[in-house]
Amino acid sequence: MSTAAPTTTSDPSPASLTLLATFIPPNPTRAWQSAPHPTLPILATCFADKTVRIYSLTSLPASSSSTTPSALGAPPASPTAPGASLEASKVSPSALLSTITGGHKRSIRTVAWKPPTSIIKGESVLATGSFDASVGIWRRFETGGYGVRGNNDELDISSTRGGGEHNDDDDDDEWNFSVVLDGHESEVKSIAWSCGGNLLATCSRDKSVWIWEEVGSGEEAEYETVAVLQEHEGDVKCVAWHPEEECLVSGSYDDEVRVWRDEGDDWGCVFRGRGHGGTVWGVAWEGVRGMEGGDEVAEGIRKRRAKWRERREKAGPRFLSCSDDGTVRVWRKVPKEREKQRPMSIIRSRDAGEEWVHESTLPKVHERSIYAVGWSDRSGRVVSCGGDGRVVVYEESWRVDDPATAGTTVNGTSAGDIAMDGADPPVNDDDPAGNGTKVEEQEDDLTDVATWKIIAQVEAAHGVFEINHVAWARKPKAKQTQGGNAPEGEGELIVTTGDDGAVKVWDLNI
Amino acid sequence: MSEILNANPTIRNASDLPSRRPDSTIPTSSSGASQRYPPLGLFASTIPASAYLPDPFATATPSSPTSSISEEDSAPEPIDAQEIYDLIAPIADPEHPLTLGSLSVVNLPDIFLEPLSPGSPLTVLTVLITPTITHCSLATVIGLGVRVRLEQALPPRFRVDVRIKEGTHSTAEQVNRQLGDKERVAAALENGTLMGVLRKMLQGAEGGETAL
Amino acid sequence: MTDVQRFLLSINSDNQKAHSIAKETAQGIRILTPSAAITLTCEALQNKEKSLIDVVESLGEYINDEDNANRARTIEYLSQVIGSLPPAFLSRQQIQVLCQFLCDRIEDGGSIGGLKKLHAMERYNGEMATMTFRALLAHFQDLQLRSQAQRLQVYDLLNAMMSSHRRALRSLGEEAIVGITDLVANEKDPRNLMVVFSVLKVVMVEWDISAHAETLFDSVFCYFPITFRPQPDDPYGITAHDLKARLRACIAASGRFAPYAFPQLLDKLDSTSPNVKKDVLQTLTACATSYSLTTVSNYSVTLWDSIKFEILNVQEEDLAEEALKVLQAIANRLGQGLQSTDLKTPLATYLRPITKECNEQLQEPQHKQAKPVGQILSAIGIASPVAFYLIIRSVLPPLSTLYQGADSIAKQRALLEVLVQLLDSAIAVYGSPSIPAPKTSIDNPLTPFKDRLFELNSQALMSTAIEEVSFRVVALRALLRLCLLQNYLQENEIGMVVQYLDDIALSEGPVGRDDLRKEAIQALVQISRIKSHLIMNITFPAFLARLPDSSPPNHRDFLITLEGLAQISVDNFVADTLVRRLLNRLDVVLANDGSPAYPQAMLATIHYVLTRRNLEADPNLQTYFEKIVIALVTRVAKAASGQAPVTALNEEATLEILGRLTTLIIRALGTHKQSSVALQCYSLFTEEGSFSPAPFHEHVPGPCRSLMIVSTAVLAGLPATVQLEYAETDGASLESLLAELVRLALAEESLAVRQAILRQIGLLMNKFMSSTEISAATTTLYKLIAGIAETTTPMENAVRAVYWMSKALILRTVQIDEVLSRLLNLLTSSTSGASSARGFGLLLAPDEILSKDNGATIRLLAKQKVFNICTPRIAQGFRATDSATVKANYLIALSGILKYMPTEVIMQEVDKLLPLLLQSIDLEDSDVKAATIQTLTVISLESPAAVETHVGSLVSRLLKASSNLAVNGASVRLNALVCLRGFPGRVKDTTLLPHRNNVIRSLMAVLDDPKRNVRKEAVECRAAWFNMDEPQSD
Repeated sequence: MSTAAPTTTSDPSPASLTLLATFIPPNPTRAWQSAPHPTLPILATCFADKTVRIYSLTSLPASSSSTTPSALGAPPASPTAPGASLEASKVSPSALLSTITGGHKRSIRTVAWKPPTSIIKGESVLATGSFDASVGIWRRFETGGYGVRGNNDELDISSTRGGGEHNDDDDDDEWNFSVVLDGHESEVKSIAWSCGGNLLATCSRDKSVWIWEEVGSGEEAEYETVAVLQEHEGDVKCVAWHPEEECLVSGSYDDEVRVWRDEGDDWGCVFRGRGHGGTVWGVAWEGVRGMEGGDEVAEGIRKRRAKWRERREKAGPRFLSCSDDGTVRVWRKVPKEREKQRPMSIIRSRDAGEEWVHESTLPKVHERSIYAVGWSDRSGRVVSCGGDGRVVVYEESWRVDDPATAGTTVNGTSAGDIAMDGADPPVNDDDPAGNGTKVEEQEDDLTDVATWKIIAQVEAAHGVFEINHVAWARKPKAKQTQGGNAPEGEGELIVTTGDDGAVKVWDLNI
Repeated sequence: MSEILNANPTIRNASDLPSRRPDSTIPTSSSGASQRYPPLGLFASTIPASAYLPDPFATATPSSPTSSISEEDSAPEPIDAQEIYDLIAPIADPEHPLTLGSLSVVNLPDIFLEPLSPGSPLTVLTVLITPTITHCSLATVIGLGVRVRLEQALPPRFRVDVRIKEGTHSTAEQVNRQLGDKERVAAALENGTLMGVLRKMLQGAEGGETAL
Repeated sequence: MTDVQRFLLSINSDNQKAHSIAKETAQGIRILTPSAAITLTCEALQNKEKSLIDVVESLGEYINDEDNANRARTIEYLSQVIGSLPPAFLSRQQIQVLCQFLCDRIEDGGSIGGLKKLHAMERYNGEMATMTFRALLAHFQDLQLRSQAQRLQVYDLLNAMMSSHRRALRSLGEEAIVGITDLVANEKDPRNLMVVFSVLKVVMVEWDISAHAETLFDSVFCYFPITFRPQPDDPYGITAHDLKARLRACIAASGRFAPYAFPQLLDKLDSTSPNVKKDVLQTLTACATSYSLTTVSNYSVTLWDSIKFEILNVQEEDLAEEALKVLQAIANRLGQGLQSTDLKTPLATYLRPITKECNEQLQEPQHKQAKPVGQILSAIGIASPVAFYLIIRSVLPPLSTLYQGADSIAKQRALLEVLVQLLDSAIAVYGSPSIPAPKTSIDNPLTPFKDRLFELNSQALMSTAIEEVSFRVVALRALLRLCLLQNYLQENEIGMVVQYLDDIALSEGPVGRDDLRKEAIQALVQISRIKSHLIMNITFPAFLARLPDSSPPNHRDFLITLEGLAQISVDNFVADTLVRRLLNRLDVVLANDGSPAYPQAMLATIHYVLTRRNLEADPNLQTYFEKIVIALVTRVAKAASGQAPVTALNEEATLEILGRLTTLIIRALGTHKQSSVALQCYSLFTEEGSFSPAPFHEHVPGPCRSLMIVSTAVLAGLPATVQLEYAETDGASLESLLAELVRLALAEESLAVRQAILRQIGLLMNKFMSSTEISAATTTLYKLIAGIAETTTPMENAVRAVYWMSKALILRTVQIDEVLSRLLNLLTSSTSGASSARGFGLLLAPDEILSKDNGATIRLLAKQKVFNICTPRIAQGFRATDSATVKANYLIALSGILKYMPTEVIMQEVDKLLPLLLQSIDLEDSDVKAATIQTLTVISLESPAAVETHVGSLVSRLLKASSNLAVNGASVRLNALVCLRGFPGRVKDTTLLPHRNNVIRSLMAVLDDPKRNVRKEAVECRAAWFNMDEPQSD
C-alpha cells in the first residue's frame, strides 16, 4: 500500500504545517468532528462507533516554530494501515482523557463545547448530535483532572491526569448524560452554541434548524425550543453562530446558505445566499477583529485601504461557506443605513431581511468536495480540508500593487489575486426572500484592496483517507516557547479529523 | 414490495457477459528455472505436477531459507475495470432473481478508473449504472448496493463515484446527488431495514451462486 | 371337558380358577394355550375322532351365552378351528352350514374372521359368497360407528370375496354396486381407505356402472385432494403418496366419470397450494391415459385451455412439467395407432388450438414466451409421429418467417431455441444413429424444410458477430441436431457442418467465455461417433495443417489444436490414426529443432489418447510398443551416445513424458514380453556395446545419465516378479545394483536425473526386493544415516537418498519404528537437521512413479503408524529443546507429515497439535507456512470447537500471514485468508466478535494485495466477517 507522505505542494508557500501529534483509538472507526475547548487545552472528537473521546493538548511534543520548516513538511502522518503499525513517536496514548459512550444509539456526527462565559465555575458542558436524531447534553464538574484554577484566560494546569484509556471509574472526570433533546425526525448533522451560550442551534436531514434556549443553570438546566426554521429545501448540513450577535448561518444540501435572526417576536430567514454549485458542507464566522496595518504605502492605496477597513467595521464579521463544488466563498454583509433614505414604510415591510454579498472566493485548490472550513478569530487565517485529503491554509492580505497596474502580485501565487473579481462576480441577484435592492455602484471599486493567498498546504494529511473536519485551536501556553518571531497570542494549532479514525494536531510555522 | 415494475427486462445470457480469459503465451521470462513449463492445459492431468515442480529438498539449501518467491508469484496484477465488473456484476437485483450483470444494469464499458491528479495515490472510480426502466424507483437502492459493495471490497485509496448513466433515468440528478453524499450513505448503512435489503442483494455477490 | 371349555378357561383372565378346574379333570389334561387347544380339536376332526357336528354342539351352551365376551370367544374359537383345517377338508354341505351359522351371528366378534377363513375353503361357492355379502349389507348399515379394526375386517372380507367370487357378486348387479357404495361411505381411516379404494376400483373397471357413475364418482372424489400426513411413528407406514395413487386409480378407472371428473378437477386447479395443483395435474394425466379415446377427445380442448396458463406464466417449475405431461398424455391417447395426418382426426382438433396459441405467443414482441412454447410443442411432438407431423406443418412456416423478420439477435436466439426443442422431439420420433426409433409410415415433415433450416443455422453460426456467443451456441446446437437426425442431412452437408466446427474449434479468439469452442469440440465428438470418416477426412487434415512443423518460440496455440484433436479422437479407429499422424509429425519437428514445449505437447496428446483406451486388449498394442517404446527409446539412446543428432527428445522434461508413455505401454504388455524388456531396462534395447548405461560404468556423460529417467519408467511398468538387468542370479541379487544406484544418486547434480535414480532406489526396495533381501538394504540405509554428517558428497544428496530409501520401507511398513526413530534423531543435528526436516514431507507424499498402479506395495496402515510414532516424539522433542533451529526443524517435520495425513487421523490428536501448528505459522519458510495453514484450515472446518480456545492467537497470526509481502508468498497469504474466512458461521460468534473490528480493519490493507486471487479472497473473507450479524444494539 503506497504510503502517501504529506508533502507541501511544489510552489514554495511561505509557511508550512508540521504534525505535532496523532491521537488514534486502538480500534479506530471513522472520526467525524473534533471541537477544541474554547479555553481549556482539550478537544472532543466524535466517532462512528457512537463514542466521544476527550484528548488533552498539553502533552504535545515541544514544537518550536524556530526549527527550520522541513521542506517535506510533517513526517509521514498516517501509517500504512491504521492500527497495524503506528509510529510510536507521534502517537501519544496518554493524551486520551476520557471516553463518553452509551449516550446515543447511532454514530455521533457532531460535538460542541458550551462557551465558558455562561457556565458555572469549573463545569464543562458538551453537546453531541447523532444520527439517531437526538442531541445529548453532557456535564462534567471537575474537582481535579483538567480543573481550571484562577481566572478563565490564565491556563495553569495544575496536574494533568495521565494514564491510558480511562476506565478507572473512581476518577472524578465523570461525564454524565444530563439532558437529551428529541425533536428532529432524522439524523442530526451539526450543532452550535451561541456566543452567549444560552442558545443551541441544531440542524438535521429533515430540512429543519431548531433553536433551543437554556432555562435554569447547572444540573437542572432545561431546554425549550425557541424556533423551528424550515425554509431550507434540503438536508441542513451545518450551522454556525455569529461571534457576537444572536445571528445564525446555515448551509444545506440545496446548495444554499441562509442567515437567520431573531427579529423581535420570531426567528426568521434574513438572507438566502445562492451561488454554490453543490452541497454546502461547512460555514464559519470571522473573528471580531478585522485586519490592521499596511499603512506605509502610497497615499492613494492607503486611503482606499482605510475606506476598506471602515466598510469592514460597519459590515461586521463576515462568514465563509465551503461546498461540494470545491470552492470556499466569503460573504460580507451590506450595512443597512443607506436604506433609511428610502421613504419610511408604515407597515414593517416583509423585506426586513439583510443583504449579504458574496465578497470573494478563496483560491481553488481542492479537487473534491470540501468538508469543513475554519476561520481563526485570532490570526484571521482560514483553513479548509476535504475529500482529496488536503489541508490548506489561506491568509487575507492587502494587495501590494495598485489595481490600475493589474499584474501578478509579488509572491506569484496566481490563483490568489484573481479571487477577488474572478469568474463569479459578487452576485446578489434579486432573491425573492426579501432584500431585493440592487447593490450600489460605488461598492465595487474596493474589491481589489485586499486579497486571499494560500500560505500553507499539506497533501495526504491522513494518508489516503478523506478528512472530515478541521478547526483552529489555541496552543496551550505552558508549552509555548518564546522563541521565533511568532507574535504574542499567535500560538495556534490546526486539528484535523479523518476517516482513518485519527485526530491530528498540526503547528503552523510561518 | 410494490408490484414488479419491470416485469420482463431483456436478460443477457451468462456466456455473453465479459470475463477474464487466461492467455496462452509461455512465460517467456522464466528466469533460470529449468526449462520445465507449467501444466499443458488439458494434459495437465496426465503429466503430473512433479514434472515441473521443484524438488522439496531444493529449498533446504541454508543459503535461501525462505523459498524463492518465484518471479511469477510477485508480478503485480493491477486492479482493472474487469475486476471491478466481476465485483458488482453478480449483485442480485432487488426485484428479480437475476444479477445486475445479466440485466445489463452494470456494463464493462461504463466503468472508469483514473488517478485523482497525475501522480496522486488516490484513484477515482466512476461506475455508471443503467436502470432497467427510466422511472425505476429502485435505482437509488441499486446504486447504494453497488457503492457499498465497492467500498467494502476496494482499498481506501479509491474514491468511489456511482452515478446513473446520462439520459437513462427521469430523476437521475437527485439519485446521483444522494449517491454522492458520503454522510447520507453512512447514515443509510446504519438503518437496519435498508441494510437487510442490501445484504440480500450482496449475498449474490459474495456467494456468487445467484441464478445467472 | 370339551376343548372349547379348555379354550375359554385358558383365555379367561382368572387363571387361578382355571387351574383348579383343570386339576379336577380325571384325564389329567394339562391346561393348554389357546392355539394348542385348537390344534387338538383339528387333529381330532381330521382323524375323524370327532365330527364337525360334535364340535358345534360342544359349543352348545356357550354360543348363546348372554355375556358377549364369551360368545365372541367361542365364535373366535370356531373360526380358528376352521382356519387351521386344510382347505379341502370340509364338504360343501358343512361349509354351507357353517356359513349360515356365522352369517346369523355376523355382528358378534370373530364371525367375520370365521367367514373370511370359510371363504378360503375350496368348496366355498357363489351363493355362499352372495349370502355372506347380503349378511354384511344387512348387518353393517352403520359400519362407521364400529371400531376401525372391525371395519377393516369387513373390508378385508369384502375384498377377499371380490377377488375370488367377483362374478357371483357382479351378478347381483345394482344391489351389489349400491350396497358396496353405501357400506364404504365416509370411511376416514387411511388403512381402511387403502382396501376400500382397491375394492371400488374393481367395481368401477369391470362392472357396468353406467347407471351409477355419478354416485360412484362422488363416493371417491369426496376424498380429493388427499391432505393426509402420517404421524411420525405410524406403524403401518401408509404414506400420502400411496393413498393418492390409489385414489387416482379410482378416479381414472372408468371413462364414465369424465363428465364429473374433468370439470371438478379443473376447478381445483386454481387452488393456491402447489401440492394440490400437482395432485390435480397428475390425476388428469392418469385420466387422460386410461379414459377412452372419444371421452378424452371430448374434453381435450377444454383441458388445454385451462392447463396452458400453468406453462405460459410459469410460477413453479415442476407444475409446468406436470402440465406438460398432461398435454403429452392427451396427445398420446388421441394419437394411438393413428396413421392418418388428416385434419379432422380427434388429435388434429386437439392440436389446432394449441398450435394457433403457440404461433400467437411467438408473435409477441419480446419473445418472452418462446421458451414455454418450445416446451409445449416438443412435449406434444414426442407423443407420436402424427402429432409431430401436425405440429411441424402448422408451426415451422410461421416460425421461419418470424425468424426472418426478427430485428434483434436476442429475438432470433429465442426463436432458434424453439427450433432446437423441435429438433429434439424430431430425433425422439425419427431417431438418430445412436437412438433407435419405431418405424413409421409418416415421412419426416422436416424434410421439405431441410435446406432452409441448414442455411438459416449455418448463417447464424458462421456469419454473426464473434461476441454473440450465446446466439451462436444455439445455432451450433441446432446444426448438430440436424446432423444427428436419422437420414436427414446429406453426407456433404454434414461435412460442411464439420468444417464449421473445425473453424470454431481452431480459431475462436479470447472473447467472452470460450463456451462456443467447448460446444464445437463436443459436437465434433458426437459426429465422430456416427460419421468417423468425416472426422478423418475433414477435421484431421484441418487440424494437422494448423500444427506447425517446428516449435514456435513464444506461444502455444498448437496446444488448442492438440487438445481439440485429443478430445475428438474418441473412436478407436480415429484415435489410432491420430497417434500414427502425430508420430510422423514428431519426426519432422524433431528434425528442425526448437523449444521442447511442442514435442512435449505432442507426446502428452498421445499419452492422453492412450490412457483412455484399454491397451491390454488393443490390437495395435504391439505397433505402439515398437513405434513408441522401441523406436523413440533407441533413438534417444543413440543420440545420447553420439551416434545420432541430439534432439528436443533428449531434454529431461521430454524424457519424463516419454517415460510416462513407456510405463503405460509396458504395463499393458504380456508377461513374456515384459520379462524380455526387464533384461534390457538399462541397455534400453540397443545393440551390445553401442550405448553405456549409467550403472556399473565409469564417468558416463550427462546425456546418457539422463536416460536413467527412461529406465525408471521401464522399471515402473514392469511387474515385481521379473528378473532385472544387472541382477546377479545368486541370493542377494539386487544388493549390488542398489549400492550402485545409491552411489549414482549421491553424485548426480541434475535434479531430474537424480530424482529418477532416487525413484529407482525406491522401486527397487519397495517393489522388487524380496523380504530377505530387504534386511541387507536396511543396513545400507542405517550406515548411510549414521555417516550423513561426514559424507563428502553434497549433504542434501545424502539426505535425499536416506529419505527415499526410508520412504520405500515405510510404505511397506518394514522396520518402521527403527527407521523413523533414526530419522527423528537427525532433526537435532545442526548440519543435516534443516534438510532432513523437509525430508519428512517426502515420506508420505503421493508419488506417480512409486504408486499402486505401478505395483508398489503401499500399506494402508503406513500413514497411521507414522502419525502414532512421530507426533508424540516431535511434541516431546519440541518441548525439550530450546534451540530455535531445532524447534523449527521439528515443526517443519510435523507439517511435512500432516500435509498428507487423512483428516480423521489428525483429529485424534488435535489438541496436542494445535499449539505446535500455531507456532509453525511464525516460521519463515513459505512452503511450510502454507502447508501448516492448510492443515489448520482443515482442522477448523472439521471441528471448530477445537480451534475455539486458540482463536485469539490464530486470528492475529493469520492476519500477519495474510499481509507482509516480503516474507509471505502468495500461497501463504491466500491460505491464511481461506482459513480466516472459514471461521464466521462455524466458530461461535461470541468468541469471534471481539476480533471482528480488528480483522475488518487489517484486511483493508490486503484488499490492495498485488495478486488478484489474494485480493478476491480478501474481499470474500472481509465480507464474511462483515456479515457476522451484529449483536442488535438498538
